[in-house]
Amino acid sequence: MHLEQANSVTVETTKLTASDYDLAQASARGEMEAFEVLYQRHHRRVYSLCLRMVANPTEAEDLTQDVFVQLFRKIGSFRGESAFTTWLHRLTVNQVLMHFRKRGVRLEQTTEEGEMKDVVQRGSERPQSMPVVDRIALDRAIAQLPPGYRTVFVLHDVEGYEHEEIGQLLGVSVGTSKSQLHKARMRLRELLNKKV
Amino acid sequence: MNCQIVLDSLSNYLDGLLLESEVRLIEGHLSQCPPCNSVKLELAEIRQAARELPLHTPSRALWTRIQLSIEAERAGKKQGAQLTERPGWWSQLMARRFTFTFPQLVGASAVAIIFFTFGVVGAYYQSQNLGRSPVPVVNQISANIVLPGEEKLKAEIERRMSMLNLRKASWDPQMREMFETHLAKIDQSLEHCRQNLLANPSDQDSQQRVLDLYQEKAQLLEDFAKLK
Amino acid sequence: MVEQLNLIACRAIGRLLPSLLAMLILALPVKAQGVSRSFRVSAESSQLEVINKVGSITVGVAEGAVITVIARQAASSDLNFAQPSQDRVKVEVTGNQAIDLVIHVPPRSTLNLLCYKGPIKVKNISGQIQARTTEGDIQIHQVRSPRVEAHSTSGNVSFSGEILPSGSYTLKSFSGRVEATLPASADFKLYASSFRGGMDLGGFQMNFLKQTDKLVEGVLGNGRASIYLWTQEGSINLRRKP
Repeated sequence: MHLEQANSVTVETTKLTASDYDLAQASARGEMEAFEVLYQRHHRRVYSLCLRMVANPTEAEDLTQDVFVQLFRKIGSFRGESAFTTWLHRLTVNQVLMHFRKRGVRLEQTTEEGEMKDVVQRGSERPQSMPVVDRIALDRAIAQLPPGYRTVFVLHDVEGYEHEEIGQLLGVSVGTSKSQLHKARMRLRELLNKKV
Repeated sequence: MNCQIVLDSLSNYLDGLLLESEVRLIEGHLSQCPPCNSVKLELAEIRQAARELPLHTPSRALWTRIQLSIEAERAGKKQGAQLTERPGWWSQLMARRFTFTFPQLVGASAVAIIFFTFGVVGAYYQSQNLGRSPVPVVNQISANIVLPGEEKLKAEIERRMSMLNLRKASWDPQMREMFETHLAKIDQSLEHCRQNLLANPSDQDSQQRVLDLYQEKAQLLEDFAKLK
Repeated sequence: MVEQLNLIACRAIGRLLPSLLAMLILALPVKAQGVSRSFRVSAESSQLEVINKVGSITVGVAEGAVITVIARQAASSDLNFAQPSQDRVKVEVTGNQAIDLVIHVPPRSTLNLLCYKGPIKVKNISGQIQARTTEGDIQIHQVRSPRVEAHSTSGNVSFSGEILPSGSYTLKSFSGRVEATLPASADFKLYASSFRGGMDLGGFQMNFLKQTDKLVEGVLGNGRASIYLWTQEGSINLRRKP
């Protein structure tokens, strides 16, 4: 069959439409083309998550590399019980948290300068609430949060984790997770208002 | 209910984590307190926007880095398996079991003498050159810039090239000529951009450009690997 | 006696003549009449792969759930066709002769097109498109694809069509020009890089994250889609669709 030599092209096209589970199975058998399709599908989400958590593009790229290398090692253990994205994101979060631990980043800390007061001066508010939040500005503001606030905010509000899960992942109580989240949102509001 | 208590509870209120009685109290306060209500609206906006943040894109070279890292790991595993089958020089060294043939001893002695001689002569010249212009030294350092992932990319390109060199002879002459022409052009650009990088080693755009050109070369090799 | 000999000779010629004529016709160089093939596929999930060495690949929209392939100058021995499953069709030109392929597919088809020496043209497709040629232009127009990858080593690459949210559009050329005509209301993050050729961003009012003479990174709207334009020698031109 003359078309045999075109197999790599064949594989790519077929796999572009294959399910994540099928691609994971093929990757577990060592098929790099299948793994590449998985990478193409998910790398931006993984990189964005890493970037939001570490707020440094070079570190985020290194972490994304670690995540996918780790994924390749573990992909055979993906049984399809949960969505592939959920599984991959948990792997990513664990990788980032491990990175924080190695670097000695303390997630329990609140702000660099200590506790922050959520004081609203009566009458000092702008008459109208801020315009529709500019997503790019919000992204930049997230990068300015202290690591503890940033992690909880990204996990809860961006990635959709529950406080119980966050508590388990970070080794903090549910109450701490809730309070960190609230403080993160208030700080973001402050940063966005400054920009406006 | 005072403003501070309401403000402290706003996130839990927005996330639906409060009891019905607490919700009623908060809503009662918000309906009469425009500043608190304004904060609530802003937090709701932030909460909503967080779910619609744009995705970021890493550099194009990242996949190549991952691929090469995986391949290196696989190769390492294979090598590891081989090492356990046959004790290598390292395990022999650790076990302090040494068996040398006569030619090995002669060779080792010759290498030791050569290193010693060069070391002495080199040290002498260095001491003579102290205080001269440091420029050649800087150039030498610049010429050794290695970008992240570059060595692996080059190794992969080498591997593909050696495979193609075996097969090129069977290609149609016009295909072979086309391949050689484009390969030469990419190599020329690569050389040029490498020179630019040497002039400004910390410039990230120049670094990326060099990596992009390696990718361009790798793509050409990949396509022609499919050619009969 | 002479008459008998004439008669025998005439009969012999009469019998041999058709065979001789047939041999003569077969010996004449035959001009290929062209090849045409059709494959019934699903309209929703068809996939097409094409490899051509010398000559063009042109892909347009078919009427109905069918993939048709026309190669005008070709003989049937010049092409290999395969349909390994209901929705997958593979076409490969086997020799080194120049053959232009004209192909029609259901609009949502996934395309994977590889050419060595020849242009690629794709129009009105809404499936994923991957187009690669070493020598030749790539034109991808009026498409509505979630993912486009077009890469020519020495030809120009041009694109026009919709930019879908979370879509990914990569247009690359080593020595050619890269052009994209996009809706004025598009929402994307742009990375455009040209080493020698210069850039014209067509007046898109972007939020620039980086802007030098060789490289531009910017965001339009919420930056949901990703557009990557790259060339070493050529220029980059963005245009706003009126």
